[in-house]
Amino acid sequence: MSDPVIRVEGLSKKFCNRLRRALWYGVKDLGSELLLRRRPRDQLRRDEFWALKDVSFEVSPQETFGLIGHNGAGKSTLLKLMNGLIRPDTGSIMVRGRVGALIELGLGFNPVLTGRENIQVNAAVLGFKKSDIKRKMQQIIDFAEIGDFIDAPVQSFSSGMKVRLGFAIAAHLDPDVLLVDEILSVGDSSFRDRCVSRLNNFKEEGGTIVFVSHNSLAVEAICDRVLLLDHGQVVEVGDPSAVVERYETDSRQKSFIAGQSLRLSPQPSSDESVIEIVSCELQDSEAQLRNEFNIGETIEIRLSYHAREEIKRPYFDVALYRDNWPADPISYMSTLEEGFEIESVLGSGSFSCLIHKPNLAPGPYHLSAGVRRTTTTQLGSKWYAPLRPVAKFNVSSSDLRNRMKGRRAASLTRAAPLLLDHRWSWNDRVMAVGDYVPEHDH
Amino acid sequence: MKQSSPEGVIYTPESQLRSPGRLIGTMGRDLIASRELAWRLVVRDLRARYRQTAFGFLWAFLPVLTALVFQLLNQSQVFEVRDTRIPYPLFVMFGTILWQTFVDSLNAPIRALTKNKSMLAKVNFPREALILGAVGEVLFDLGIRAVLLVGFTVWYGVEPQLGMVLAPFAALLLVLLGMMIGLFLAPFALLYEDVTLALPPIMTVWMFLTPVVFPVPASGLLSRVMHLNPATSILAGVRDLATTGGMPGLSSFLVVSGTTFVALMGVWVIYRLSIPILIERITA
Repeated sequence: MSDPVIRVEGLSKKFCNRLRRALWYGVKDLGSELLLRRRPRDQLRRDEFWALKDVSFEVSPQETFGLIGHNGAGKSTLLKLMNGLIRPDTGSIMVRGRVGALIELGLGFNPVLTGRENIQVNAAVLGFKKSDIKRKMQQIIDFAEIGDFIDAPVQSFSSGMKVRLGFAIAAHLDPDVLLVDEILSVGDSSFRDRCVSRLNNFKEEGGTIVFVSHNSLAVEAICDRVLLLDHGQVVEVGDPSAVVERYETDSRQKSFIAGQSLRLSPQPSSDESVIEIVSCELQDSEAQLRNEFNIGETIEIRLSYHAREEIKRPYFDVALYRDNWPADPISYMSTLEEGFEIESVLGSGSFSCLIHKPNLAPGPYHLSAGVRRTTTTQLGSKWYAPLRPVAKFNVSSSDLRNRMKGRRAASLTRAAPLLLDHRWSWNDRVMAVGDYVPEHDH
Repeated sequence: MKQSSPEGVIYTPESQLRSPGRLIGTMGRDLIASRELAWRLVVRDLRARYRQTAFGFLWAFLPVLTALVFQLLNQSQVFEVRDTRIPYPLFVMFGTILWQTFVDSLNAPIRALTKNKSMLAKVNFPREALILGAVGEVLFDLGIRAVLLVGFTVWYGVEPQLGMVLAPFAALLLVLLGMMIGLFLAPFALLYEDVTLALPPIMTVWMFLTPVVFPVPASGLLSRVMHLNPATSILAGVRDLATTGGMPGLSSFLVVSGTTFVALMGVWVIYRLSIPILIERITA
């Protein structure tokens, strides 16, 4: 219908991964720019690589456009090019309207100056006019929720306060196009909620957003269209759930490429630790090694250890996380809790923890394991081998997604790790039953 | 519904020099757009500079005063000091302060760029603001030191002359000369730290080739070198103007000033074109 707000055509950008050579190329590029020499931009020089290669897409007005991809896929480079910070090597970028960037919050904050003074500077850097700053000052202070600290030097702020202040300033900028890079990864959950609601406001007011994140849930929930980048090339552009699905499948294949069980390499400090968890294998109820489980399918975690010395009364702990390790575990299992005591261990051995019908939602999970001493020492619990990541697995479901109506519902269920059997009634009439965990296991 | 301008910005690999009209247009626009930010940066840096000090603004004087005292105590016999038309301490005083200002303005663009590297790499703001801000800071220091100079001039009983009113404008040219050189070096300094490392020794040598603490000798190699030195005519010009109201070396002063203006425009273009290339190199 209307003309695109952003049009990227045949865009390529090369970088050099050797510092000295990169600096020298910088001097040469500057020279040829000044001497108006047309340099062969589409050729790689020594030690150069394509950070972006032949990327084309368009973003329509009021669209929220997501960019996903692994680290180094070229997402940030693309944002920098759209922001006009660096120039393309081939192709072109057209951006219509005022561009604002939510890229790094609180840039240029001076630690000895007060919050208020830093608002003035940071806002000016972001392009606020003097009158805007005056007018929006109080709004920004209120939004940041830092109270009396606003007149204290920023160095006395907690890191959360700094981020909040930075975001409050950036959020009051009123651009036509907003470039957002990974801001959801900082701050606590209430901060994230506020970010998202602010983005939604911006959207409702008719703004266009380009949203970069690793967090596929956020991308799926916020974006209208998503572009998947891999090694600088466009893999897919389109419907968020489809592209996110593709991204997750790809990364799953990558992370499990080495085989089905994750074998840990001995740690460098292994001489000092008296016991070590040497491997972790995940099995289904038929003792098959697996990394993909269906909803409700039994998972057995088999850990092998090696104890260099005799250890009296060790406790084995296993913690289950969503893919956001090291956040709080979803579930923590310990032999101590169950009163399961082992007299002593020496040499190699194994133990296992069987999770019967786990009601885990589809998605990626991490497991950590460790060996604990006891809880009764003076300094609290001590570790023979502290908790550390031992395995990853996925819970998948072919039928859950089909049952979900609409992608927003799907992304919400994907964000929540726990499935509970439940029943919906309306005026005492049973409308729907949500039985997630199948009655029969294998 | 947001209002978006019908015409968007277009980024291409083409050198901006190929469309000089548009380049000059954006340069002018950005310069105007950068005033507010430049002012904010000056205020930020000045406040930050003095907030954590006990002596505050005294630090604008102290280093100069120390250097001055040292120069006077150490009235070196290495160089034969020709007669100066004004009291020698006043001569040294002006020389030292003006030289310091020159050094500051030469360093200012380099410092501004290296200090605000991460801001430069992440936010698209008018790049002129950094330079204006840095120069603003130099002018602030010069202003404070000028108070000192005026005080001493009165103390030494120098007769006031009408021409002295022009001295601040001449001093501005000294700042522009330093800034032009600094702005030229700044992109390279961002790529290679060699530039920053090499500057202090170079400036020391340069100082002795400039009539800072002693006047230009009547003849000899040093005299010829000093006459070729662009800083000589400007620095000596400002000092003459401020202390006698006249300027014997007016012609060379004007030549250097004109050259500085022209060079500054060229250097400004280089600076603008270099920023995207630099960002790519310092963050890639």
